[in-house]
Amino acid sequence: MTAMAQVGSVLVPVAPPAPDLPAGDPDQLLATARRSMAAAQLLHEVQARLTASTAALGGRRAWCGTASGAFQRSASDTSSWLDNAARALALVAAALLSYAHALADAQRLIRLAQQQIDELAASRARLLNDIEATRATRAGLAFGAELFEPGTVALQRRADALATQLRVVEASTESGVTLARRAEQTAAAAFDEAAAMTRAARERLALEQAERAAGGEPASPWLLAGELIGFGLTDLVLGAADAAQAGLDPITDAAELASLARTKAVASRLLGRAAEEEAAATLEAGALQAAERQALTDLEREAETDWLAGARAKLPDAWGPGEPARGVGTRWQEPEGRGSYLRIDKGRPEHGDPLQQIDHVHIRKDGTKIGRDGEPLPRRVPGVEPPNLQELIDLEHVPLEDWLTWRDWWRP
Amino acid sequence: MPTPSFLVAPPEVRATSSVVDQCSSALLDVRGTFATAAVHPGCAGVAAAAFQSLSQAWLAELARLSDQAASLAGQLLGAAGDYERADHAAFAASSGQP
Repeated sequence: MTAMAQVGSVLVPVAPPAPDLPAGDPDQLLATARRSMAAAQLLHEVQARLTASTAALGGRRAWCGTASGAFQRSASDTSSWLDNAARALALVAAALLSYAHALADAQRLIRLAQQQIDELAASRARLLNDIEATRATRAGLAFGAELFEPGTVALQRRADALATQLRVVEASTESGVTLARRAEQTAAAAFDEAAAMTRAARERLALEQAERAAGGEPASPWLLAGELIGFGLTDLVLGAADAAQAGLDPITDAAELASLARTKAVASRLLGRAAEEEAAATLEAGALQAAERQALTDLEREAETDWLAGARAKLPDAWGPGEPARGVGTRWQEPEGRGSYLRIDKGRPEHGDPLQQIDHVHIRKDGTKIGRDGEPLPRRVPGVEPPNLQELIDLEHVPLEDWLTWRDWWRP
Repeated sequence: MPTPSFLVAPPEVRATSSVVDQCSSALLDVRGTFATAAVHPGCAGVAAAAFQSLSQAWLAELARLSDQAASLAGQLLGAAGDYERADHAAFAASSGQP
């Protein structure tokens, strides 16, 4: 929430501190992902060579006895470890890749917010100068007269517009921070999962070795080796095209790296996100701006819904749902007909009159118009133009944002 | 004259031993690659802590795997030698040669 401070008779938003860039280095993460993938590929090659070599030896069916059995079991265990290691490293690489893209997006958002905050700080400084200049020029006026000084209203509108822009920047900053935090958490979960794969593999092998030592039925190492080969050849997780698109070096047989369904699901999920983020990265600033525009549109749509909900909640139930008013707006009227009504007009940013650019409310209670300060406005006499007409018109337009904070529909 | 008839084919065993030994070296290469990656992974926050924990576990694991492969290569060489010696002894005994 943007903090506000009173400067003279104008409520001015307090300049927020520049947000910190989310920690982490996307380029370094990509480099780590490449190294992890290279390590995974190397492990896979080692496993393939070991399995092929021991399978060829076993296929001769000439070597038997204690030494043969010990070797086969040892080779099987090693092969299983290698397979597990390759799959875990592939998962780590995918997680690092996804993390890198998400962090890059988050940092882009925050950098943009930093730039916007700098610009808004400059606008705020100009506004403060103008406020000071206005105060100096009316130093001779009587106490309290500045409320009806036309310059005050214009300055307040500038301050309100500044506050609105700052809120948008704050929302963008929060999005960036959240994106970075989620990316960290997702990557940490994947790293933990890779570590858990190692622990699970160690426990499984220890159990098998204990069973063998206890004289139980020995597992068939060649069958196990065959299963490992089967896993590697049938599962597709990291295809060469995926690797190339993701910015990694193409690895033609990387599809063989991750084999178990669980790993596949995790890696696929990560890669799916990586693909989305890569699409955004390819379009760079253009895509980012489009995403921001969409986000702003969503925010505006959401705000529109909230606006009507908040307005209805503030009005007496007997006034009903309201009816369409001029332009894009809604009008409510008390059923008793004592001259109380309320109309909310949707702001039109393209409108030449600043009063019409923001969502605003017109209020009449018991036949008397209520101003933005909650005070009754003087009744205008038809055909007579008051000297402070523009000021009165300004006061008739109550910013919706302010009105929503009022205690009742007709008073602050 | 009887000819040597190995119960196991020593050349293949020796070749397999060589492959396994190369695997052991390759595992050390993998460990080196991963160690390089783990120095500055680029992570932050909880991800940095998780990656640090994972990398420590994996560096130890890869070293153990390399040792295991080296041991396996040694087993193969030993087995090949044992069988060769046994087979030569049987051949010598059956042929009456010393």
